[in-house]
Amino acid sequence: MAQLDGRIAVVTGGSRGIGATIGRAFAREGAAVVICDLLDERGEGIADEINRAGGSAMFVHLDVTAQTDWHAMAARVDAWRGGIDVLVNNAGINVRTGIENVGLDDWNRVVAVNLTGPLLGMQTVAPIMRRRGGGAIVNIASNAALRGIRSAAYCASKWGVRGLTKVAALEFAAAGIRVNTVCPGVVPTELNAGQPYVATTGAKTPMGRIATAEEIAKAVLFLASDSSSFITGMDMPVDGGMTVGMPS
Amino acid sequence: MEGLQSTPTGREPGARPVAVITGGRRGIGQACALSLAEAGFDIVILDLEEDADATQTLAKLADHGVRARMVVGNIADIDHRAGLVDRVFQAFGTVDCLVNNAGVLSGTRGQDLLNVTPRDFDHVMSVNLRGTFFFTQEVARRMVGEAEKGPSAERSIITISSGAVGRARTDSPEYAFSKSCLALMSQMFALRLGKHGIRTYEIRPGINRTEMSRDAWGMYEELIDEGRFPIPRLGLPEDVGKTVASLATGGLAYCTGGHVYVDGGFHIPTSVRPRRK
Repeated sequence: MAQLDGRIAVVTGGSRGIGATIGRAFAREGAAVVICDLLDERGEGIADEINRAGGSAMFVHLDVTAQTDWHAMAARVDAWRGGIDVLVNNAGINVRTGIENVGLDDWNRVVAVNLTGPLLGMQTVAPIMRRRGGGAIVNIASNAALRGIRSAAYCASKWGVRGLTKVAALEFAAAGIRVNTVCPGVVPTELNAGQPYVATTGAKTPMGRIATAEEIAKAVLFLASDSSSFITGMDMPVDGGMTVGMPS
Repeated sequence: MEGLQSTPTGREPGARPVAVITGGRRGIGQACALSLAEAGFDIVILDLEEDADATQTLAKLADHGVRARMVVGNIADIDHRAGLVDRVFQAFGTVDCLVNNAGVLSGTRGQDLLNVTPRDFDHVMSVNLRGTFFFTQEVARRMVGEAEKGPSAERSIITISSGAVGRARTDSPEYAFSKSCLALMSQMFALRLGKHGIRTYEIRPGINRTEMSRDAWGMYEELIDEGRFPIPRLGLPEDVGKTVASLATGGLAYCTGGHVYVDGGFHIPTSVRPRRK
């Protein structure tokens, strides 16, 4: 039996990159997948691709910072499949400025997408999951949530995601809802295209390479499935050992 | 051997991957063996004696349609570790996954920090840390040798430590020392073995209902009633087993050196008790 048979899964930022890969992987494991994003055309394309491959998917336009969008999404998914079992808060943005240089607008925008987005998402799905007897939420943070980097808003918002996850794990456990964080290392995507660290990080990683989006998706799948039924409130680095230390 | 078709790694063509589980005849070790069998591994159980528990475990493994064999030995007997690892590798020709599960508590369980004896200390360290380290070292050397001969889909070393890792406490310090060092050991092997395609993982079970913890079951139930466990139940050996199977089959293929808490959220640092349903 596939790992997500019969489950209904929502993936934010699902139109490209890691989010699209998570959506495809979930569909292969039997889930009905809701691809959410601001990029309508590409999101529709991912949903079409999944449906053509024999899976089941729907695209819903969602600005993760807009509470009304979340409620509209939940209503559409409710009409489509009658509930939500899995939420992956994957949508994220980055502005690469330090503390002295970050503009307040940029700071607010990054925090709104990366941190307030998951909050609104969890507020939206928790009552639905509680009604269904449980569920699984996976919040995508970053390796930057385990150390300091030179992007103030990104780093702080991703540390915030880890904290929010632990609050959610405590708050929702009795309702059968598990909440965990995945902290990916470097994955080549449009978000980091052209950044010098994409080329140099592999050699500094114990496994000798950077990640593929598929490998992040596998870890998310583990935390979304019953294989992890007693795991909650945990941060899982998926970084080839980068946060462990330097290889000899 | 002439006439015997054998791959460079000593594996028969089309053969299943092989896992060895130390302390695999009962408890969490048995659950790991069963989950790995379900995931299609041939199983080597390494344990101190082939008793009724072992016989029952081997029978259950056979029900999964995989090959299962028992190797009797003691990882703490490090003078004979080469011979022991020989026997483990000879069972099915190779080892793809090592599960370091064997561990002990001291005879005088729950001894206060001010009273713990060198004898208790040495006993726990000799099995949990010294035995596990040198057994892992010997297996890792051979895994590196096999990795150089030919690729395998997945090779991994999974160490079952404990929620006691890194937590100060006033009783059983020897247990917490031994398990905390295993956490560091798993990270060290991750750094050393990453380039050979061998990943390491550490699993930190919470409080489980096993024979080893039988005398504390009552106390654990009280903790649950107090709302101390976010997921309000004790751990089951199969919770750990399912996680081991996911790790051994590449479910976390870009993770190495990391740890997974399988504890119902017990590790979350908090002063707030989860609200009960």
